[in-house]
Amino acid sequence: MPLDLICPAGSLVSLKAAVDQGADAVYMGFRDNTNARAFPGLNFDEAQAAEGLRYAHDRGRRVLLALNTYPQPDSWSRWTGAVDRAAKLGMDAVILADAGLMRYAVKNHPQLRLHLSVQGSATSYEAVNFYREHFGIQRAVLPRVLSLPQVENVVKHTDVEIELFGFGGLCVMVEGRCLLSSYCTGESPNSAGVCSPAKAVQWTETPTGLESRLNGVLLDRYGKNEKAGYPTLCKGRFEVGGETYYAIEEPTSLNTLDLLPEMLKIGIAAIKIEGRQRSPAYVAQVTKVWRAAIDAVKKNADAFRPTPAWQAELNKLSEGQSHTLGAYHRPWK
Amino acid sequence: MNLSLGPLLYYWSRDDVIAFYDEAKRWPVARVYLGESVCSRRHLLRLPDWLELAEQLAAAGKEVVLSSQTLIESESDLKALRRIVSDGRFRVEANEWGAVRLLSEAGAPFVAGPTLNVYNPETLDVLTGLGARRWLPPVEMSHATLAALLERAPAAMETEVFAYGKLPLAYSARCFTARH
Repeated sequence: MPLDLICPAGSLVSLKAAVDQGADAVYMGFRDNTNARAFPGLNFDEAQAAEGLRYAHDRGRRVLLALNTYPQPDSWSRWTGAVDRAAKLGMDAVILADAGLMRYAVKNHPQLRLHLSVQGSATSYEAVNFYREHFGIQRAVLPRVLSLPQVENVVKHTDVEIELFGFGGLCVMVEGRCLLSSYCTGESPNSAGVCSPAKAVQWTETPTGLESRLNGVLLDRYGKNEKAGYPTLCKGRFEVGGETYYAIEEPTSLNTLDLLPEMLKIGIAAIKIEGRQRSPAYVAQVTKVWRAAIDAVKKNADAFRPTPAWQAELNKLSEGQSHTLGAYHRPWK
Repeated sequence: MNLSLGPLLYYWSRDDVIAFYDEAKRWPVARVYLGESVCSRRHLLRLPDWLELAEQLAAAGKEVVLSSQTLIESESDLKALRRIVSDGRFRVEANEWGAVRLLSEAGAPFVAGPTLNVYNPETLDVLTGLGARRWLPPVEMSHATLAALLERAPAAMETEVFAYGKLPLAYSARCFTARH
């Protein structure tokens, strides 16, 4: 079971694409703000979730439900209702970030498998073991900020399975610790399940280029041949000291194919692909490449090299202009 | 209602930090949060320096709280956290859930910091059971949400809100000392 491939399902079509291309499990959200991709047109109502579960289970694959936003006091029952529905539908696990919601799940559905979401911001084994001791979590998804030796140290000191992000959009900030979207719009991933809520995003063609704004705040202006990404504050170009540039951080995507042998060696349980907001075609292509790569590394880790064809395929799909091994690889250390 | 001076979020010179807290002794604040809570690569003041400042401020009549790191990455970060928890002289502000684990194991009452992401009374109740005596809402929390939460908050829990200063809106591991 090491290196399970976990793929994003923003819709039933994406779910089927991921399963058909060899995902071991898919993750999805309900159609409301109980998950961190609460965008219009995405996610599953109960009937679609049931159909998705049937499709995956018939083929021996698992379905995980992301309930990874923080329940708000005036609508607590929306989150507990979602946990109840997940148990009733037979989800293979729920991915939670909130301690209060975990307590509810353990008390009311003791058989339901719990995963700690990346939004829980747990970066040490002390934090991971806290959730293990108090709520019996089986797996934790680590934020994309640790080096692989640091990840290995977490793995060595816990019984909890560790899942890492392997590919997709890369946040500049630590997951669960970013309120930039809230500052501009009043809504953040933690509280409302959205970074840059779609209703606050404006695109305008101007004589000097395509402009993106978030609730009126200019985030970027794209030149003729520039690819426009989804506008977020952290990836905007701002004028600082008379110069306009990516003042917070250059946007890049994460691609860790090169690190697969190391991840296998240190005992990573699962690799997650980011992108529930991406198209079914994207999900199909990324899943296909990662299935082939994981099969290859498990067959012979020493001889494993990502093929140029895999890398070319993934580069085509990356958001932004470049990709990186992220914090996992820090050669200067 | 009383005033607290929050942890220093800036990277000031050692002399500036010491002068700042020297002045703070005379300010009308009941409580002072001390320590490096933002970045473990900042070393201008070490834990013994912070503890020395803590003793001085306590002698000046301030209640001292030691703030823990918000982002724990390495074993040495955990060592520093364990030293803060085991010192025992001062209350500790837990800024991630590893600190909550260590403080509750030590049986030490603690402050639940703003980055624990407490958005509802149920989670606040979990923290109360673990030994939290005061908590800080996330800095994004609206007046209406806080009011709704406090209606059902555990009775003995003290609430402290961020009221003045630059808001810490996001934490990154890709700071000026990182290369990637």
